[in-house]
Amino acid sequence: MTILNNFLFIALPYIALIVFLIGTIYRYKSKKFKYSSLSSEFLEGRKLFWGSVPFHYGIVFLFFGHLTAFLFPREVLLWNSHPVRLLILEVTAFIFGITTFVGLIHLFIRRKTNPRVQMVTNKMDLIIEVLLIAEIFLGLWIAYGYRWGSSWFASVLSPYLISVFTLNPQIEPIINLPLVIQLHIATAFLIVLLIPFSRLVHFLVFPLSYLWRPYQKVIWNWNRKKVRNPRSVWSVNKSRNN
Amino acid sequence: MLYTSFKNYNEKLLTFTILLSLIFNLSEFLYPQSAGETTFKGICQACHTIGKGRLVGPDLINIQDLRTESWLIKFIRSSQSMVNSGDADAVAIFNEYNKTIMPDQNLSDAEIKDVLSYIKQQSTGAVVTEVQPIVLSTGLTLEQARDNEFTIGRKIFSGEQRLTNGGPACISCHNVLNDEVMSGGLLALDLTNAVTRLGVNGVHSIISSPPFPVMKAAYSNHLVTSDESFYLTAFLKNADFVVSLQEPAAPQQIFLYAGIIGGAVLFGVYGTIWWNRKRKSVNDSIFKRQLKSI
Amino acid sequence: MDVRSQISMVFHLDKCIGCHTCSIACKNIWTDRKGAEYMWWNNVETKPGTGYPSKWEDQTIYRGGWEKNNGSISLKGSGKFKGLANIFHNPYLPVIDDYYEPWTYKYLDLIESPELDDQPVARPVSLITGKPIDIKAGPNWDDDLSGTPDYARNDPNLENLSPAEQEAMFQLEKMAMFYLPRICNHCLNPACVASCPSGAIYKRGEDGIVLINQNVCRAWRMCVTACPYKKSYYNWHTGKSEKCILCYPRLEAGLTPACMHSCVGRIRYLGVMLYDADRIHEAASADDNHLIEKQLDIILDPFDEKVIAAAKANGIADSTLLAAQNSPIYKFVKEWGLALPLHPEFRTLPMLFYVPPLLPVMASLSDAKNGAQNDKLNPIAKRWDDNWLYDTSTEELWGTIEKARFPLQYMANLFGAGDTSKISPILKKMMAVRIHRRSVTVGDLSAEKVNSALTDTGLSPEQADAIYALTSLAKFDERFVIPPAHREQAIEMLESTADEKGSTGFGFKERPARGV
Repeated sequence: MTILNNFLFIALPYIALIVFLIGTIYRYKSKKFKYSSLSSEFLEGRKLFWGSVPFHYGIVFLFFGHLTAFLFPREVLLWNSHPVRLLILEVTAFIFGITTFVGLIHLFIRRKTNPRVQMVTNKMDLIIEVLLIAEIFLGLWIAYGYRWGSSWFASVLSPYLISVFTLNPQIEPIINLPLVIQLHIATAFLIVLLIPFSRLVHFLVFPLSYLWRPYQKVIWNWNRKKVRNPRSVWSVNKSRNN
Repeated sequence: MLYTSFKNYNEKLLTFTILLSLIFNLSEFLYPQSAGETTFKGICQACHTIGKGRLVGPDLINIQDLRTESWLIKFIRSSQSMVNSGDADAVAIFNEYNKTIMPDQNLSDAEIKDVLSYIKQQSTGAVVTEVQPIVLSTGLTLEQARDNEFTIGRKIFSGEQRLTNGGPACISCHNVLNDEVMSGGLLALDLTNAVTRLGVNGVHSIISSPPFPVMKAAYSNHLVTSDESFYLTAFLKNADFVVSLQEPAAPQQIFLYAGIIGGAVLFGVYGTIWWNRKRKSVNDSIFKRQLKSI
Repeated sequence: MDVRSQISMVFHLDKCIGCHTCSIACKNIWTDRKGAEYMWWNNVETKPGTGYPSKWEDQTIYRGGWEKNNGSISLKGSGKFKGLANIFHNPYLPVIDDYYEPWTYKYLDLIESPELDDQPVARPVSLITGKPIDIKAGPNWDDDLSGTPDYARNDPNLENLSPAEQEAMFQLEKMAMFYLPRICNHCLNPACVASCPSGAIYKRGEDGIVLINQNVCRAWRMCVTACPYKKSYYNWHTGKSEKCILCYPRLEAGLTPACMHSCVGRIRYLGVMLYDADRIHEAASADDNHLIEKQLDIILDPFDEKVIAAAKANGIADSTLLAAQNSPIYKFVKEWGLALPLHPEFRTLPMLFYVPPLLPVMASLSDAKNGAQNDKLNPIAKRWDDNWLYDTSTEELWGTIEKARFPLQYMANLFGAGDTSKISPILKKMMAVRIHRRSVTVGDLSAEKVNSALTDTGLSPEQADAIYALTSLAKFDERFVIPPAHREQAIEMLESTADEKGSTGFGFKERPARGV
């Protein structure tokens, strides 16, 4: 058990984080063409709406929820100190969890049954989808069966995650948690591990910079004034377009 | 090219650094430097005393005279497997202490021996049967606690009054059947009858220095003050008593239903926001009219 | 004044015979790849008709282009906040069925089928799923089907035509049609560029070609919605958008784009135009009825000393200026005012201009109850019982244009943002050129009539001859005036040759290393 626990909660997180970091950066640098959300809306758009929208908005909410509890545990506890606020937070998260789960199940069925979408499906897509379904199901189970997770996450799991990131992993509380929670944690790290090998990389290139760039974009391959100036030095710089 | 190789070098360096620090920390984790005293105070003290009477578990004074060392090591490692295997002594103790499960301890032989020698070293003087009474800093004893104290305890329990050192409210993980407290968490045990099971001293001791790893992690940097333990113990004692007089709503499925109904509402919201979306191909009517051979 | 140069085009619709040679040339070079089979960077549509993809002009469905609000413009279906909110499911994205499911045939079945009672057939199979399909639609499925209820009557351009006018268009003997070849317009205010969340789409500064960087595209699909001409296509296989690149590798080598090179009717012209980039926003946010003049206004006169000086200061090469001065586009668009942009109301300032077709207009309908009309018929011919008649004579001068069997309003919806006064002068000019040339070559028209036709339209006989020459006689080098790419100064347009020395292969470049 000790070996398994050490593997799941010490080795796996570090393997996952290292592979994630190196893998995504390497893929971005060398195989940039393969960074894509690989949308299949063009082949099937009608069913996609009821899958993609609830899933994505839900997973974004849940991701930032977990991130907030991890980064600001004190503030989350402060918010939860009033039972009504705790209830609002928990029920909202649970609602988003349910829509995420339903949306993902819908996406999975669509992917497996639509012949056109099948043509743009690879094994990794299915593995990721199954893992995500399992992860969200476990999450819902925890929210329902071991309720008020937002509070105990902030006081038990945040310290663990912080200990992982500060290179001093403390797994004592984790290995004494119920199996469902342990599985949820391990699956999360497994998904992190698989990010560089799957289409999940698309969330890393979410185009937030669109909000502050000007609408129009013009690129000159070279400095158009300098290149026509006979006195300018010949440059070995690549053209800006490349 | 130069740039590329530099980049690779950087990545290698980073990996190496991370691995190195990982190995160091692992070794620190696997072989903690601890004497018997720190282990006892960190783990055992919440339920056991040495010569100061029983708490949750038995007084451990002169324990080395009662049991063999190998028996103790086995029991400390995993009391439940001994109970289940039918060891007569283990079963007797388990039953004597209201079938309260002693958590398994992930300790090495050497560490356990350290603890036992610490206990032996401390086993001097007479055995006291009465433990120290639980008192508030104002001198109020538990027996004198009334509604005012119960209310403060309830507020601390539910989180309405924050713990001084910033620990999470009890309700995060524990449930108590009480009219005035909303359904608590389910991660840990229901505390409605905690005082019956563990006795006030046991409850107070557990709150003051939690022996359970998860609880310990949550409060290790956010200790519960002695006054807060007093209020909480008072509340739990009262809750244990009044539960038979009340008819608290049992934890309902409201949470589940709220989630399902809320989810359906959210789906409706999505459908409304994007009501004007393009639902079908513009050629749909032409396609539908065509004869199909397949 | 920020003078920039733009490769611009004119398509002379009077000369288009709808042969699709351009489409095939383009397809063979660029889009016969997996995921690109359905893409027709160049396509030819029959008008009236629904086009490709079906009803692409109907922006209540596809929400393409810009819309004006409060003196400024914003993207209709995307934009910064709308685009990011719709990123998980683009609600206005055309799907493959709005185009067609690409297919091929199992030709091998024809050859290798065993001897049976029946003829072997080659079944159509989908190029997406590889399974047999019923072909439901094709790339030019409405070809020559003007008058049919499914296609012609669903043409979005019929919108503000009266029911009577619409009916008249579709009666069997009155029916008329023309062809509309379309490629990417390489707009001055491209909606696709503005809508791309990743910033993958850009306009090349040197020649104004709009390109998608395949390494930056992340399949957010907003450009497909935003382009009102639906000329940005989503490659479902690679998960990247693609569009017409105006054959820039050919242009850089001094060759014409494939579609233009192969054009049988020689309808296509290509050349450089200079424009003032500072005034793009002003032109794009003009009122609907001033859009065309404002757009033509920012196109600069390449002979103007001030423009030349500003262009040189901006780093535009002398050779490019020379090309701009010889540009056939400048003549058609600015000098003669014969060509108009397609759907200027989309506010993207398209730089592909169309000379509207005169031929379907020319045969006008006249109420022919009077005996004079009947008398004009050959006595041997059947006397028509109908009270209308085609009038293809030039005697009435403009009467044929005003009472055209092909309503001017339809042309105006296509090329004039709904304003017929933008179309009729052009048609009159084209008619005047014909009248002038007829008097030159046949000589059966009175000089008085010819003069009045020319003065009515403001053309001199020399101009009329020049229009005639560039329309009918122009040689290759007159139709296509391509400025040199100046590789000698830039080493390479896209890559530094020294960097890629020792690399191999097409597409992705790798070092020729042995083994894995």
